[in-house]
Amino acid sequence: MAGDKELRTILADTCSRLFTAQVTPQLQESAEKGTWSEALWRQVEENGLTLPQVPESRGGAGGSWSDAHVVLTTAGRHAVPLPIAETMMGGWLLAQSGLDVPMGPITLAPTSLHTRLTLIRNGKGWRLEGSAPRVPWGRQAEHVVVAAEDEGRPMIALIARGAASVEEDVNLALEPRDTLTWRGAPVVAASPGPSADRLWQLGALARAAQMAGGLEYLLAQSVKYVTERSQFGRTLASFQAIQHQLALLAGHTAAAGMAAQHAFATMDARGTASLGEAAFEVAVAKVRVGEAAGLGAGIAHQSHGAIGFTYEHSLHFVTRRLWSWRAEFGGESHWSLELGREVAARGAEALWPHLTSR
Amino acid sequence: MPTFNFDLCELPPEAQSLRAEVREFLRDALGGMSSSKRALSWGGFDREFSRQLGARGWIGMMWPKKYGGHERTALERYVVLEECLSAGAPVSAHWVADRQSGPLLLRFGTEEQRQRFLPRIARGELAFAIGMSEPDSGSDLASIRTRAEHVEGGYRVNGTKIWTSNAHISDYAIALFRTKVVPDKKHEGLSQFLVDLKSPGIRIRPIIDLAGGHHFNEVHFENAFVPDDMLVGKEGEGWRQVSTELAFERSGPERYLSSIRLIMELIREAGREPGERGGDRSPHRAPHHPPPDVALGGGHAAGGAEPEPRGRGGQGRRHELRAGDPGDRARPARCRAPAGLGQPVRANARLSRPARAVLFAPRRHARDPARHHRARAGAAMSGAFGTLAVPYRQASCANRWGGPGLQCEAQLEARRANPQQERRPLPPGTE
Repeated sequence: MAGDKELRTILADTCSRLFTAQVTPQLQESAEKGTWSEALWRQVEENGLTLPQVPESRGGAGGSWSDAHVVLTTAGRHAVPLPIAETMMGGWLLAQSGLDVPMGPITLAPTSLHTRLTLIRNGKGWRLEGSAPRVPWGRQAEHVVVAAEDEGRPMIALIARGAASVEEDVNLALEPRDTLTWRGAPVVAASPGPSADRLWQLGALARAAQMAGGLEYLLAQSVKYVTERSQFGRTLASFQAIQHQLALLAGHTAAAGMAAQHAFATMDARGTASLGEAAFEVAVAKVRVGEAAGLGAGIAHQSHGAIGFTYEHSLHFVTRRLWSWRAEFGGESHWSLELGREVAARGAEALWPHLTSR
Repeated sequence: MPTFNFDLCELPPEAQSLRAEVREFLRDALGGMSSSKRALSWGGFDREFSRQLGARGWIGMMWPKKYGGHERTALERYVVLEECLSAGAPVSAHWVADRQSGPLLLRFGTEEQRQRFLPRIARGELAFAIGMSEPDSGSDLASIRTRAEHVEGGYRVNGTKIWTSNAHISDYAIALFRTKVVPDKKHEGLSQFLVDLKSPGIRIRPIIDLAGGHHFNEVHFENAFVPDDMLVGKEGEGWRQVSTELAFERSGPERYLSSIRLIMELIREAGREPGERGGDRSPHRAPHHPPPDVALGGGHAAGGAEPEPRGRGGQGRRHELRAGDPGDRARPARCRAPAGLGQPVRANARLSRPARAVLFAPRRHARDPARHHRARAGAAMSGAFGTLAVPYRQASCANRWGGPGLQCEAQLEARRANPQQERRPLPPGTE
């Protein structure tokens, strides 16, 4: 374990160095105007950061979910405008379904629980039918990993860019969230695999880590700002009201970070059955981090005052992502409901034994 | 970039098997104890129970064997604390002594004091109270005025302590007195003493809490005599010692488990398939406040070195407050689901939290009021895990993050009374 931990420290350093150097406000602004950051993508991919937890035999780095956690947290902290999370999760779904993982950015569909995509047999292969709204980076991803159904059977399919008609849209963070429509579109490969629910769960897992990273940024940035900025003849940090707010932010950041980390650790611990087995922890993470994200963004903006509300200041690159990610792949209400049902069905006396057995 | 986080750690196998053992013992020992009694959490006082726990070797677990301890690991002790709290065991008759009085004596006490008190504490025979706050010295503890004047063979004590939990049923208190008045230096001249609460000159008056419970007391000292050999540590070193003691007090799992019995009752109320009743009774806002306490507490446990009270405050106390909060019942029963997510996501940023919760509730529930209620109940039930699932298992090493906020938070925490708790005293040592 100590060895793993050291490797993860190295991984974290690699990510931090790369993102600190490359993810500048200029790059973020240009990405928000719709420019694809190809050079950065290539570096991220060459450093093996896009598929950390995908087996080497399928084209990944052969690491663990805890490695994935490190990459996603760091990417979230730096508000990296690339589909790293989507590529990671899509790659894993392909590998899990026995399919090879292509190079290049990958995205996921559907990202809404109410969207059904259908595979239709076509000779030896399939064709894809359906429309998926709010596909992250839909216009730019070279491949889409789709959770579809073939006569009711859950399938994972790989679709190339260009097979869909694209209606562009963005989220609050100005990240692409496009509607992709496939009408008898060609399928590169398909295989029985995890269902759309599981894809959703992976999305929630990824967003939890990204948001936890974003919260770390908010905490560091807010502490920095209040120790530099003076009003009434003293630094903001010397006001107890400000200290109290930052203490709350720190507490939420720590709790959220642990919730996310724990979910990834559970994915590692549960092995190949991990998706179903980690459903509880993933839900906990999305709920806990989501709440922290809402409160944390509020505190960060409150501490920064008007300057944090400008486009010129960088705070919003993270806060707008937190607000967006919080709602994606199920917000707190959705996951609370899932968990509430599960806990209630198990009964009161089972609560503590269940928690301590996880 | 400084970060504020904790590493996950797994409980070692010996701690896990101990958990099963403790759980079984508690099942037998507590039998059909009522929910309301269990809800007293660490406020329940039962000397017989404490003796049984002591006989099992589960008090003074980390202390040296020569003082009646068991030389077990911090994580093993932590598991026992968790199991006792989650079962709602009446631990109050040994809790303070095990948590802070004993460790304080181990650290600062004389050899004679250790031999005299620690084995009896470990057997569950001695109940301790904490004499810190005074009527005019709550938050500003260093301003205490109770005087201990040196006389032949000991000290003569005059003054009043207040909010002294369980003083009326405890054997001893460790109290902070002023042994010397140093002008303009209130932190100097303070000393800690072991006080036999049955001594002449000590009068204990009850303070009944808002729910009718008697835990708090006012303790009056009128020429009470404390022998020389009951001075703890060095005369004049009281402030430094008491700070250490508060760190012991503030680094355990109490906060995040204090409401577990209430949460279990909510689950019971809701039933296996929560319906409208569950929804109406549920604290909507309780669910999502799992505090990181156990991580910080676990720092104490895992490291076994200095406990680290910083940051424990906010999240744990928030959880306690939220769990007892009936929540906002004014949530609209009828609500509309978003037609598409694009606009709502943007609107999301501007909406209040309840509105957002409704907006993003699954469509199928939102359309049907009855099912919407179920959704609410479900969300509320998530409190059961939300408040607990995260902190649990996150026993880990506290990162000594040096930001300005946490120190402040810990201070606030140490000073704030919580008026919303059930029939349970404030943690000893607070006002």
